[in-house]
Amino acid sequence: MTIHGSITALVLVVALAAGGCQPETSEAGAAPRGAAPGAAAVGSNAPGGTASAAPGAAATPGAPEDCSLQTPAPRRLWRLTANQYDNTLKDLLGIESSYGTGFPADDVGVGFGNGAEALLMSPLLADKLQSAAEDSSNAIELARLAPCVSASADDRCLRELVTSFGKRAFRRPLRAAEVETYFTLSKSTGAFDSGARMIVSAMLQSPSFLYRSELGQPSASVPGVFDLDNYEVASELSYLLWQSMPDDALFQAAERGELRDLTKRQAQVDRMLKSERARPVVRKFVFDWLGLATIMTVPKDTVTFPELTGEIRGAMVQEAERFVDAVMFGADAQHDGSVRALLNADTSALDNKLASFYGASPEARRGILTLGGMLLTHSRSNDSSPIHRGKLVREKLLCQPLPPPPPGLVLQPPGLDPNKTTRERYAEHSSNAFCGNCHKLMDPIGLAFEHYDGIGRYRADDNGLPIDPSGEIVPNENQVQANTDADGAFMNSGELIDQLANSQDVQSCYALSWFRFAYGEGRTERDGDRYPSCQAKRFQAAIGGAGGGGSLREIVDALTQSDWFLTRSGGAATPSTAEPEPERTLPSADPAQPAPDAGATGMQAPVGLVVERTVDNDWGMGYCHTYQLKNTSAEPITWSLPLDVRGKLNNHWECNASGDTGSVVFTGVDHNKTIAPSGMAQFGFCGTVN
Amino acid sequence: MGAALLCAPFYRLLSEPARARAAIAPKRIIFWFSPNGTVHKHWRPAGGETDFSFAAGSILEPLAAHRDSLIILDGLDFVGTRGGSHEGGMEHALTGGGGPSLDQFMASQLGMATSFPSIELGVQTSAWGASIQTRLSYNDKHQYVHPEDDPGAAYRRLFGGAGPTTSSTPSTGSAPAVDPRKSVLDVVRGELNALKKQLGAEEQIKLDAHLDSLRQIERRTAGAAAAGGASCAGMQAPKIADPKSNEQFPEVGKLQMDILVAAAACDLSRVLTLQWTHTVSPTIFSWAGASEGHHELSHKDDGNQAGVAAFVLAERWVTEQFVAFLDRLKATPEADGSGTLLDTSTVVWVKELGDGRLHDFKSVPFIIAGGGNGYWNSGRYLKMDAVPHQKLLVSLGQSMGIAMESFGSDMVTGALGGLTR
Repeated sequence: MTIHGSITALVLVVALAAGGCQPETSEAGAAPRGAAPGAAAVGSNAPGGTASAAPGAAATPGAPEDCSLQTPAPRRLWRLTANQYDNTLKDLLGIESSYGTGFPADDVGVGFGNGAEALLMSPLLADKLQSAAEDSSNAIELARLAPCVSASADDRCLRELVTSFGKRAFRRPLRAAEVETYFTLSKSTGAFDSGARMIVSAMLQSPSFLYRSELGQPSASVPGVFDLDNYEVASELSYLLWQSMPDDALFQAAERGELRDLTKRQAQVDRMLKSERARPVVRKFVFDWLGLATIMTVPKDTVTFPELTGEIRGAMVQEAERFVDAVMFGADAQHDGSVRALLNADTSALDNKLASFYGASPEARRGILTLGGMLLTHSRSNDSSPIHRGKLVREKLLCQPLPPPPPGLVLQPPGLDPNKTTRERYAEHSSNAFCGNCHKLMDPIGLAFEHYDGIGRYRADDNGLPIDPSGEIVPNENQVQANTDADGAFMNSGELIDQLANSQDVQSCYALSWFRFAYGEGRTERDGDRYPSCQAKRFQAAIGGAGGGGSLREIVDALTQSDWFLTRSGGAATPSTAEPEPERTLPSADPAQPAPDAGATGMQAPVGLVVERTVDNDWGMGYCHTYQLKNTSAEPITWSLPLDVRGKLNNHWECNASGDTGSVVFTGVDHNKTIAPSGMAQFGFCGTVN
Repeated sequence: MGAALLCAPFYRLLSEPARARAAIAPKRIIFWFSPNGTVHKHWRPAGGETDFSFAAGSILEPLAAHRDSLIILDGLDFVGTRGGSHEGGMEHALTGGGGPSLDQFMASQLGMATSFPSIELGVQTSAWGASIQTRLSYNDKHQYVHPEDDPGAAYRRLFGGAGPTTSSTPSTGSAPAVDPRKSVLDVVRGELNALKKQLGAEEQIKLDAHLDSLRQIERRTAGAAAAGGASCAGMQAPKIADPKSNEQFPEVGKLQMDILVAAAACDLSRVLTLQWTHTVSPTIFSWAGASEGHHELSHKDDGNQAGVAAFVLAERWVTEQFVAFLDRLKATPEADGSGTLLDTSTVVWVKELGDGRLHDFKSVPFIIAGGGNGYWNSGRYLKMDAVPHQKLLVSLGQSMGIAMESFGSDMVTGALGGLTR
C-alpha cells in the first residue's frame, strides 16, 4: 500500500505525546528523500522501516547483555536531582531550599527524570549551583554547623568545621588531604566568618556533594568487582527511601560498619519506610510513573470545560495523594502497595466538592485508573481520549513502549461531533488496516473509559448516545514477547481493571518501574528502552518468584537486599569464573598486542570493548542481529568477535565472517575494523535455522 | 560528520588564534524557534522573488512592514534526520544530523569574545522535562543545552553582576586580591581532575561535562568581558507570578524578548536563542482564539476549514511576536553607533516540520530577518526544490565568519546560494 498526500480522506488520530507503531508494510516508512546513507543504515535496522522512536534507537537500544555473567552494575557517580538537592540542603543546613525548582529540567528518561547516565552538569546548572551555594552559605547560622563557633572562632574551630560539616556534606569522612585543602581555602579570606562560609559554599559545589558516590573499593575476592562502603550504602538507602542525605542514625550505623549486614540493613529500611519522610517519595514514584504530576497545569479548553477550576484541580491532586498514601502504606492486603492494590482499591474517600463535581456513577470508581486526576491528565484539551488512556496501559502497566506515527500520513484528531460517539469518531483506526496495526494496541483499551470525560467526570452517555465500554487487550507483535497474561476481551472498565490487577506481567512491569526509579536505570530516550538490564530482569524474576504479589515492602526489600545493592563492577576485568559464553566481549587478536594469557591467575587483560547486541528480528526460522561495539579504552582496538552462530549465516554486513555456522569469528571491514578510543563500530548478520 | 572536525570543546579555545572575520559580517545571530510546522498554502507569500507579498489573512501577513528586511526560504527539506516526526525534526532543526547544534558550534568558535558564549532563553519549554521533544540546542557531545524559562532567573544570571563574594579584579600592577570565587572553583576543579584519574571511561563524560561547565563560569569570574551589570540592561528586573501557567505564556514571551534584546545590546553574547515552547506543544493559545492545544491545531486536515483557520490564527499570533521582536531590535541602537540592532543582526525563524499534519520534513519554513550589517540580500522570497537545509546552516555559519563547507552531514556540502549581497 502506498501512501501519498492525497489521502485527505484518511483521518487518523495522533496521540499528543506521540504514540503509534511501525506498519508491517515498509513503504510509508521509507527514509526521507535524500537521506544520508548513515541515516538510512540506522533506519534499515528497525523492523518495518525507519522513523523509529528516538534517534539511534534502531541501532542501539538497550540490547540484552550476557546475564549469565551476573555482572554488577557499573561503578558510577550519580548527580543529585533538583528535588534531592533541595531535600539535602534542608537536612544539611536546616534551611528551606527551593533552589532546585529553578534548575534546568533534567532528561525525563524513562519517566522519572533521574537517569544516572543522563544527569549531567551544564553551564546553566553550574551557575545556579554556584548562586545557591553562595546564597545559602551566607544565609545560615554558623553556630548550627559546629558548636565551637560560639565558643572560640579560631583555626581549630575552622578545622573542626571542615571535618564535621564536611563529613555530613560529603556523606563520608574527609581524607586528611581534603581537610587541609578546605582549611587552607578558608584561611584565604583572612576572617573567620567569611572563611567558615567559604567552606560551606565550596563544599556545596564539590563533586563529593553534588554526586552520590557508588564507586566502592576493589573486592578482595573477585576481580573487577567493587564493594560499596558503609557510607555509600547509607546514601543508597537514604536517597532511595527519603530522597535526601542519611540522617544521624544512618550515619552512626555506617560508622559502626553495620550496613553491609543484611539484618542490620533491614532494620534501617524498616525504620525509614515507617517514617513520614518516605511518603512523599513513594507518592512521587507513583505520580511520575503514571503521569499524575501535571494535574495542576495540563491545559484544558475553558470553553468546553468551564467547570474545571484551579480549586477542582487542587482537590484532585489531594485526592490522588490521599489515595496513593492509603494504598501504598495501608495495613491490609488490599492496601499493601502492590500494583494490584493500586488498580483495585476503592476511592470512596472523596470530599463533597469533588463528589458532586464527578457526578454519581452506577458503580463506584475503583483504583488509580479511575481517579479524576488520572483521567484529566490522559485526555485531550476538549475531549476524552481513548489513545491517551490506552497508551497509559500499554506503556506504563505493560511496559510496552510505542513508537511515534510514521511520517507522510495526514494525522488529524477526529473533531468533536455531537452526532457520534467517541468510538464512532475514532472508527477509522480499526477500519483502516494501516492505522489499526498500531491503534489496535491502544484504542480498544482506552475506549473502556469512555464513561469518564476529558476532565474526569462520569457521564452516562456520550452526547445522548449510548457508550459501549467493551474492548480488548490484544497481543503486541512489536514486542519480543507478544502475549501477556493481561490479554483478552472485557465488557467494561471494571473487567479491564480486573484483568490488569490479576496479571503477572503487569506486576512484572511494576517491578521494573520500581527498579528503574530506584537505580536510575536511565535508558535515555535516545537509547531506547526496549530491553531491561540484566539486573532489572533479575529483580523482576525475584519479585515474581516471591509469590507475594509484589507489595511495596517486598519490592523495597528486594531492592535493598540484593548483592547489587552492595557491589559495582568496573576497572580492569570481568569475572572469569563463568563458562565462556558466545557473546562474551573479548579484546582483539591484533598481533601487535599479545593475546591475554588465559592461564594467568588474577586479572585478565583490560576489557576495552563493550558489545551490545540488538535482536532486529527473530521469527524462529530465522533471525537478524546487529552488534554495536564501543571502545571504552584509551587505545585503538582492532577488533574480532568470536560468536556462536545459530543455524547458518545467510547475510552479513559491515564485517567479515570466518565461517557461516557454529563458532564464527567476526572482524571488521576496512572502515570499521579498528575502533578509535571512545569510538564505535557496528555490524550485523542474519541467519536461518532449520 | 563535517562539523566534528571543526568543533572545539571550549577549553581548547583558550589557545585558538582569533578568527579572521569577513569584511561585512553580522554582529550577532539570533535563533527564534516556534513549533509544529505549518500549513504551506497559508504560509507561502504570493508573487515572485522580489515582488512577493503576503495575502490577506495569511500567517505571515503581519510581517508586511518588515518585508524589505526578510528573506523567506521555501523548499528547504530536512534530510538525514536521525528520527522521524516531531522528535526527529526538533533534533534536526539546528543540528542537521545529530551532532552539535549550529548555535553551540558558533558559540564554540566565537564565544570567547563575550561574557557568555551563547544565551538560550525559553518560553515554557520544559513542562515535559528535557528530551528530544523539548530541546533545540546540543553541545559538541550532543548533550542538551538547556534554555532558561524563568525571566527573573534569566535577568539575574545575565545582569545580576559579579555576585556577593567576588572581590574586584584589578588589572594594575598591584598584587591582585584573592578572588574567592576563583579559589573555590580551583578546589572543585582539582577534585574533579582527581576523580577523573580514578574512574573508567563511563564517568569521564560526566566529569568532562562538569569541568567544561566550570570553565565557562571561570571565564566570567576572571573578568573576560567588561559589559554587564544591571545598569547596562536598561530594563527593570522582571516580576512574573507564575511563568509556567498557560495564561502567562504571552507575558513570559514578551519578557524573554526584552531580556534577549537587552543582552544583545550589552554584547553579553553574539549567539542568542529564543525557544517558544516545544514540538508537540499542548499550549492553548487562548489569547488568539484557540480552544485546543497548539499541537492539536497543527493537525487540522484541509477539509476542516474551521480547524485550519484556528491554526492560522494561532500562527499569526506567533508572527506578531516575531514582528514585535524585530521592532524592538529596530528601536535599540548599537552602543558603537553602527546602527540599530536590527541593522546589525541576523534573526532566523526556525521550525521543525514542514506540513504539521503530515509530520513531514518537506519545505520546512525558514525566514532570515535583519540586515546583518548589510550582509544579506534582503527583501526576497526564494522558492527552492527540495534543498537540504544543512546548506542554510552552512550559510549562517559562514555569515558569522566561520570557514565551513558542511554541517551536520558529510553528504551535504556547500552553502545556499542567493542569500548574500
